[in-house]
Amino acid sequence: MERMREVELLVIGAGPAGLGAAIEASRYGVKVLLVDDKDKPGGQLFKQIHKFFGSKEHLAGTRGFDIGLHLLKEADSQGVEISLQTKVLGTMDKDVISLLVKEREMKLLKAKRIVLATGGIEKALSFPGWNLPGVMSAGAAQTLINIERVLPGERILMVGSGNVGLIISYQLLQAGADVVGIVEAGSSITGYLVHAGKVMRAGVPIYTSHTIKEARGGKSVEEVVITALDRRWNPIKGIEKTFSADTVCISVGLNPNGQLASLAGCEFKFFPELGGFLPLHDDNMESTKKGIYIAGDLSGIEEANSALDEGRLAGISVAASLGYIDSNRFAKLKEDYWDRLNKLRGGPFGHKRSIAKKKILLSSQQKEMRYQEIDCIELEENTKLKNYKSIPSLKEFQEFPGYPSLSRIKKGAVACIECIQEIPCDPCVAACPFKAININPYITDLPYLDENKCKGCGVCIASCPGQAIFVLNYNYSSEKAAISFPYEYLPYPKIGGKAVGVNRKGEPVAEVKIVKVDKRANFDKTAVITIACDKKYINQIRSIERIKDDA
Amino acid sequence: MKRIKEHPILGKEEKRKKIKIVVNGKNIYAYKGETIAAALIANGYRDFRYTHRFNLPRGFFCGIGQCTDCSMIVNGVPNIRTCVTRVEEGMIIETQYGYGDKDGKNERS
Repeated sequence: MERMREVELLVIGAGPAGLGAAIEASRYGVKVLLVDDKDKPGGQLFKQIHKFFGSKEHLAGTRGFDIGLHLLKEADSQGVEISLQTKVLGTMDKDVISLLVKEREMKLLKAKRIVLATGGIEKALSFPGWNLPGVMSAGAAQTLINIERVLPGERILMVGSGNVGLIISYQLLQAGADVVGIVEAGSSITGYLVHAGKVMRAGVPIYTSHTIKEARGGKSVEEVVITALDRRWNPIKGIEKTFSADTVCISVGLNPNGQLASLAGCEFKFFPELGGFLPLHDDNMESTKKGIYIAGDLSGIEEANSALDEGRLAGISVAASLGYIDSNRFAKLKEDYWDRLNKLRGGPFGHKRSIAKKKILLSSQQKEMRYQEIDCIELEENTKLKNYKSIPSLKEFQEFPGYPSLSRIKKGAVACIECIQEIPCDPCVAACPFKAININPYITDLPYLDENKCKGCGVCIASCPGQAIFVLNYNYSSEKAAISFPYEYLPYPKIGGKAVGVNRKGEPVAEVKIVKVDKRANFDKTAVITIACDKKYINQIRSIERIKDDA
Repeated sequence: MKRIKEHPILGKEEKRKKIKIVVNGKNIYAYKGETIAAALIANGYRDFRYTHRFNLPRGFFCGIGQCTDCSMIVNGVPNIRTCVTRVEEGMIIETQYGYGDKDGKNERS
């Protein structure tokens, strides 16, 4: 009989966390086998076609699939062995791991260390008609449009206004579908306002305090009914709307995918801020089961950047535990990764998650949660996260440090940064050739516009993953002002042609003239459109109605 | 439904090899490399199987091979998850009724 193969490190799951762990461990000399049950590596990265948030070290401003390619290259150059279509069935006696390759071949394996990077699972939502064809998870629709390039339907209702729901709604529009609305059971939009801004400018209504009541149809969805909810999330009788729709996408969050961790005997605890039951881990990402490390959505639902950094941290921890990194070096590297992770979890959006993570570390050490009380006070203090039901008013935007003053606007072209939530993102800072945009001292701080340094060149527009930067030129001509904005739909408007200028909510404001369509290569597929309109609309018009026909 | 020929970020549709598959006795075209589910949805199919007890339609739901709602009979084998199985030239695909295994027959109950 063949001798059982032994590896130093088995990484399970080839998404960002698994790739990060495999790459870092390999870098320091660990022999790594990375397995994934799919036939392609990258996890969900290759269907992420939007520009990512984060900082320079996270390749912020780069589209998800390009980050995926970058990681695969890195894995390749580090000599990571990847085995695809390989399912891990579980650990058997004496730490023997059983693998099922291509649904037919069983293989047994021994590993000195394991990193579990099994990701998350989308939650389902039950309502009458939820199992009719045409109702699907938002992630499934995203796979269809961005990988398979097939539209799941023409008229889509999105359930859930978190970042996943908002981003996929936007991508459905880009793919050519209509999104008839986004319903959110909570009383405010739960994702980033900049993501909501993109879909609202495109005319998609967001119904807060609403949920889906029913999906109806014979063989597949033909219409949907939504209902308003009271404060206790009970349907309010009589406030219902019926839409003709052929598709319902469910994006109501994810759960950590803990099956293998559970089989392995890792200790779990419930953390609602991070998606539910998840395995405890220490600050090396090691679970309560010695030698088994966890990373990414399995250790708490976050986003790809945190997953990648957690994976890298798990990778160096494994390398250190096997003696490939000396303790001083490891301490330094570890501190850097925690620093990066803490930055990503900074700001009001990440605050709850960051406290939950602290609790995980404490409970894995069996320490008393002595910080709990302090944290609660801190949480209230820090949660200056204003709740928005819709896009705020102009007046509110003008109170933020990215909005130029009235006198500066009248002097001529200037950037207008409508980024008013503290999210971890800073590509605009590096994009500006005049150093007119600052985010200090934390990556989650709001962008501050130095309006005297700003020349209104507009390079920042395409750099912003939130598409929240515009350029206002009050003195375009004696009668007209010009407004520049990002645009990622086909067909592009034609220079010299007319279009309908819309405000932040997608409501038509006035007819405008297209004066420039800038598609330069380093804008990476984000076109920057400039329109001319009456001067009085300078603070109102922020986009144009999408052009339906390529006539 | 339709295929996305042009996309502002992903560009023009890649040229892929067209292959023929047979769905409930009808020839349709699919692209090499795509999943059965994608090919079916692109050709307007949405009800992939009917449930055993109540004969209710089910279709593409999770898209990652977890929920089994998109199971169909492929080349005579029932319970094939069409969202994670790629099309092959001449593949025979049938709507699955119930478990699709009644003496090799696929009868409506």
